[in-house]
Amino acid sequence: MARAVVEVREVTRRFTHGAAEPFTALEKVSLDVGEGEFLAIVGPSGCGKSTLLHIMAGLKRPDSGAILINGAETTGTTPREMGYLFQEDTVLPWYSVERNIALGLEYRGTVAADIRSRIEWALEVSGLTEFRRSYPHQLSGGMRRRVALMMTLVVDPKILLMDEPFGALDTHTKTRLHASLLEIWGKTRQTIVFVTHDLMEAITLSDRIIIMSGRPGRVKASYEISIPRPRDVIRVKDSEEYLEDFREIWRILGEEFV
Amino acid sequence: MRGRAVLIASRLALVAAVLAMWQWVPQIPGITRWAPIFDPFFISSPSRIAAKFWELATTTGDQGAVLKSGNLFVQLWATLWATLLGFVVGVSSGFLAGLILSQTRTLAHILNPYLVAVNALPRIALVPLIIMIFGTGLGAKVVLAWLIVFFIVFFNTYAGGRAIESSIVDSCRILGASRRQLLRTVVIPHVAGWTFAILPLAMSASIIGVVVGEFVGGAQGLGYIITVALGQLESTDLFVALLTLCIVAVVLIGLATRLERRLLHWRPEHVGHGSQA
Repeated sequence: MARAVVEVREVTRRFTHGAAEPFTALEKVSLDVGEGEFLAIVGPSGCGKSTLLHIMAGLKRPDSGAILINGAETTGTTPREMGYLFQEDTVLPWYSVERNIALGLEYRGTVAADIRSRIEWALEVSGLTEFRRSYPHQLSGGMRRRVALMMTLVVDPKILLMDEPFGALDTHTKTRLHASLLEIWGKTRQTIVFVTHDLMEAITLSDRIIIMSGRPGRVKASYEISIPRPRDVIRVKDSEEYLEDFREIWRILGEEFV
Repeated sequence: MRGRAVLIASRLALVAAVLAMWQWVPQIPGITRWAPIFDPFFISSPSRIAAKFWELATTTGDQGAVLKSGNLFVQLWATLWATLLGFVVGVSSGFLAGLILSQTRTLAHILNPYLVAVNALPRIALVPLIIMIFGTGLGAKVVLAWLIVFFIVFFNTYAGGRAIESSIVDSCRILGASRRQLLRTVVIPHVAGWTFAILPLAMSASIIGVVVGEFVGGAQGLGYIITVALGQLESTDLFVALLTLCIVAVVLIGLATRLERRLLHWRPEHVGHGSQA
C-alpha cells in the first residue's frame, strides 16, 4: 500500500450523555488509509462508523487513541487539507448555487480570478452550469447533493471524508452521482474515506472496504476490491469480480446478524 | 380569467348587500322598538358615514367637536407615523437582541426568567406608566408599539438563532470559515430569515400598540378620534375612524407581507407567490 495519509491508532470512544445507558461506540479501532486510496467503511447501523469519521475530522475527540494525518497527530481541529461531506443537507438556502460553491474559496481568501475559474470547473464537471443562478429550493435532492459535493471539492482537499453522502437518494440519482464522483476522482485522485451502509455502493466505488462489527464498534475485516478501473458504475454490477466480492463481504457481514 | 371576474363580482355583491341592509333595515317602521340595536344612533348608516368621511377629509382647520385640529389626514398621518416608527425600532432592536442572545448562551441563561416575566405581563397594563413617563405625544405611542413588537420579534429571532443545524456550521467551518465569516454568511442570514418571516405580524402588533396608546393618552390620531367619538356618543365618527384605521392597517400589513416575500425569496414556501403579489 502507498504511504499512509490517515492513521487511526487504537481509537476508543464511549458515550455517556444522551444515551439511556453508557455504551462503547468504538473500541480500539486501528486502520490506515493510503495516499490516493478510496476506502469504504461499511457495517450495521450503530457500529460507530459515523463517529469514527467525526473523530478523523476532529469534530469529536476520542477517549483514548490518536489520529495521525500525514504523520502528525490531530488536535481537535480539522486539518486544512481535509474536506468533509455531511449526510445532512449543508447547502446554504439563501445563496445561489454559484455562491455556495464559491464559499470555501471565499473563506480561504482565494483571489477573485482563481475563484471564477474554479467555479467554472466545478459547474462544468458537475453538470450544474445552467443552474448556477438557481437557489437550492429550486433544485432536486440529487442536484443539491451535487452542489454540496462541489462545495467540498472546489477547495481541492487532499483527503475527503464522506459520511453516507448519498444515503437519502433513490437508486437512479445515486448511480448518476456515483458515475460523477468516479469521473472527478479519476482526475483528482484524492484520498477518500467513504462511510456507507450500502454494500453495493461500497463495492462499486472503493479500492478497499473496512467491515465493522457493531456494539462495540470494532474493525472486523479489511477486504480489497479487485475490480479494475476505470469502472462503469452500471456494468460493473454484472461483472464476475463484483458478484464474488459481494458474496464474500455479505458472508462476513452476515455473521453480524447472528 | 372568467373565474376571477366571477370572484370579484361576488365579493362586490356581498359588500353591496351588507351596505344596503345596513342602510335600509333600520328604516323599517317600528323595528327599533323591538331591536334597539338597529337604531342609527348606535350603528349609524352608510350614507351618514360617507358624508362624514367626506367632510372630515376635505375640511381643514378647527373641527370643534371631533378633531381639535387638522383634517382626517392629519390624524391618519399621526397614527401612521407612530406605527412605522414603532415597527422599525421594534423589529431592529428585537432582531439584534435575539441575534446576540441566541449566540451567547450564558447571557441568555441569566436573562431567561426576566424575559419570560416581562413577556408574561400584558403590555396593555404598562400603558398608564408609559404615559406618566413619556406624556401624551408621539413618544408614548412609539414606546408602547415598540414594547409589543420587540418581544414578538425577539422571541422568534431567538428561536431561529438556536435552531441552526450543527452540520451546516461544521461544514462551513471545515471549508475554512472564521468566526466572523461564519456570522456573516451563516448565522445572520439564517436568523434574519426568522425575523423577516414575522414582519406582517410585527406590523399588526405595532398598529395595536399605537391605537391603544392613542385611546388612553393620545391628543391626536385615529385612536384618539375613537375615544372622543365615544365620549360624545357619535357613532358616525366612530365608524369613520374605524374605516380609516382598517384601510391603514390593510395597506401597512400588505406592505410588510411584500417586504417579507422580497427578503425571503430563497425560501421554498414563497415559490410562485412573487409573481402573483
